[in-house]
Amino acid sequence: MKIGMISFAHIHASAYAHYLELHPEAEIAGIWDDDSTRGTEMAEKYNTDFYQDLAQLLAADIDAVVICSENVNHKQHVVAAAQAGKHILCEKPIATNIDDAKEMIDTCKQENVILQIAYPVRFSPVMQQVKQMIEAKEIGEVVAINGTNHGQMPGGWFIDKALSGGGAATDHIVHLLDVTRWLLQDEVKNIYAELDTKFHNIDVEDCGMVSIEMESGVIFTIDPSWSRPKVFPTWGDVTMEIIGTEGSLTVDAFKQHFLLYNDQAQNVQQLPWVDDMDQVLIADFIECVQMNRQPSITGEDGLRALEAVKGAYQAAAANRVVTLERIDV
Amino acid sequence: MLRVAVVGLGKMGQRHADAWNRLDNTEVVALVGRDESKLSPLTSKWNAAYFPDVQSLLEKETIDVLDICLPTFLHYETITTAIQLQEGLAIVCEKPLCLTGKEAQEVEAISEQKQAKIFVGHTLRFDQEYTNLRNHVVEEAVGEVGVVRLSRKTAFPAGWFADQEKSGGIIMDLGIHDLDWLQWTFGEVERVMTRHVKKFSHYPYEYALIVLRMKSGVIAHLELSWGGDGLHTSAEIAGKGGLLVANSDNKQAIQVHKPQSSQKVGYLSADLIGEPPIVRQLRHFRDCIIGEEIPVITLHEAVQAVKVVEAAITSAQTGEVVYMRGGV
Repeated sequence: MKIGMISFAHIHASAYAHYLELHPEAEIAGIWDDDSTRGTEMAEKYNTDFYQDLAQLLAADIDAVVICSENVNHKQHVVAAAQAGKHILCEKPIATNIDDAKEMIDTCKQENVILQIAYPVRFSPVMQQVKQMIEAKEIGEVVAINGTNHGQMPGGWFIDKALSGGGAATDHIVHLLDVTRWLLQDEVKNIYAELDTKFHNIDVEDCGMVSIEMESGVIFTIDPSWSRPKVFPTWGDVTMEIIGTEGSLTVDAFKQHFLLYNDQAQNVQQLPWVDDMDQVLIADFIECVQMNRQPSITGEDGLRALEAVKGAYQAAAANRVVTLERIDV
Repeated sequence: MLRVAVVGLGKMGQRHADAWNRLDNTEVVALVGRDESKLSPLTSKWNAAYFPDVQSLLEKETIDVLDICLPTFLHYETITTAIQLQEGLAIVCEKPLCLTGKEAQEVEAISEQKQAKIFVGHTLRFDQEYTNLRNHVVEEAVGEVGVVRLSRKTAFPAGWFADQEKSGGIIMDLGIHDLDWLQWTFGEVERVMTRHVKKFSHYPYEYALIVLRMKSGVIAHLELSWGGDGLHTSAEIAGKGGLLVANSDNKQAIQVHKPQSSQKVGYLSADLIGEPPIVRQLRHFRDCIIGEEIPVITLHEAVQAVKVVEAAITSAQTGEVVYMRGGV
């Protein structure tokens, strides 16, 4: 299968390219990037062609695209790819506003192309196991979740609101929100949030706390803060304390790692020793295109997470609980 | 010598009485409780007088300190009664001071009027881990603080604790520890948003997730759980200059391990997550057999493994160093 890559703006692009390269049935057939230096470099690295013109890449003989542009550009790139009849794996968040997300979903439906949003955490072997345990009722009915998705401050366009749409709340609410919707087959009923900029001298929020009630009554908090210091041994974390009527699960998606006390680099590092969730995500997307089946993570999944993010901003601005209104797709 | 009377001789009251007797210049002279027969082994153990209630205690016995270890809903009445009966009395009271803010404020007002000294047992302020945690924060170990995460979990409590009317429930009885520590360390709270679930079914539980904004701007999160497998606590303070982490699951200086049958858990590694090694191994062997892969373990390496084990056994038997002969 021939796959085009649209932009390496998001850091995950390199991981996706790496796993596309390793996949026995995939081939990176071309790269477009508005930064031609970066694009040329990546084309060399992954032994493929660089396209100056996105229309040319989309006109080429490719089956699908992986879009890792800045959040605000997801819409134009998804719409263009869909209109060219290419299947799409789009980095999260789906978009920076609800209207864009809706337009992306509608266009992909019209053009009959697959739109999958990249929420790799669902594919973590740990989360797959958690899903099985919850479905087997090992802790009874889930009643509460206490989650964290911490990170280091990413810098670059992530802290430029015009390109990212927002800071830590935009970047880090969606993963746990998506995983929880998927684990519980449930939607957000109402949301409260405290958001602030307390760690860095930047124009977007870098920390906060989100408090949610799901439609089922499950209570759920998310800490999306970019609060990990520079010396933290890894980029951040994904943890969940899942409380059930007959027990609880303490989940750490990245627990399986070595600690490297590295005198050569003068730091301490976590080195994971299990399958990378990004690899499973890429394999799933390729299989989805080959079998022309429903994507594992749909545009609607992307939209629902975005609605919650917008609700969190609204709640934080007004200091009150916001009841979510879900738009139809 | 300070003369102490302890009222309420449940687990906590007995612990208090024991601790008073370990201190110099204090002496437990009286125990107060409804059930004399239940208290008689304790009165003889500590050589203390028995009284059925605080009123008869203060009428008949001279004491300096009244230590209240009664269920929370009795604190207000007991404190106010005692203060009225003996001006200037020193009172030690288990936390929480009272069940409501209104009662607590009344106690504060009366104590000023009657010059009673009241000391409330917020034990985190004497816990080495939490006092040092506060000290580090105050000394700016992590610089200006942005986000604080606290967690406190215990098994579901027995007796009156589970009764909302008597203990105030999980948020009052368990939450007051961390909420007091938060205010002690970061000043007053501006606003608070709580999500709470509870159920008294086959496995009773009560659980709360509290988001707070301090007046200083610090954002805090507190997880409270009744219904787990014992006490687990954690704290995480993130600041501009660093991150301070404490976790009770990581602090046991001594861990006790007892032998278990190999038939039970713990003999083979639990392949809880992902594909088990045995599947990876047999897939590899299959692919070697059909000629698609080169074995990662040769027969010769397996022979060498047996030889080195044999040498180790020989060494154990002889008590001598054993050298491997021939190429390994």
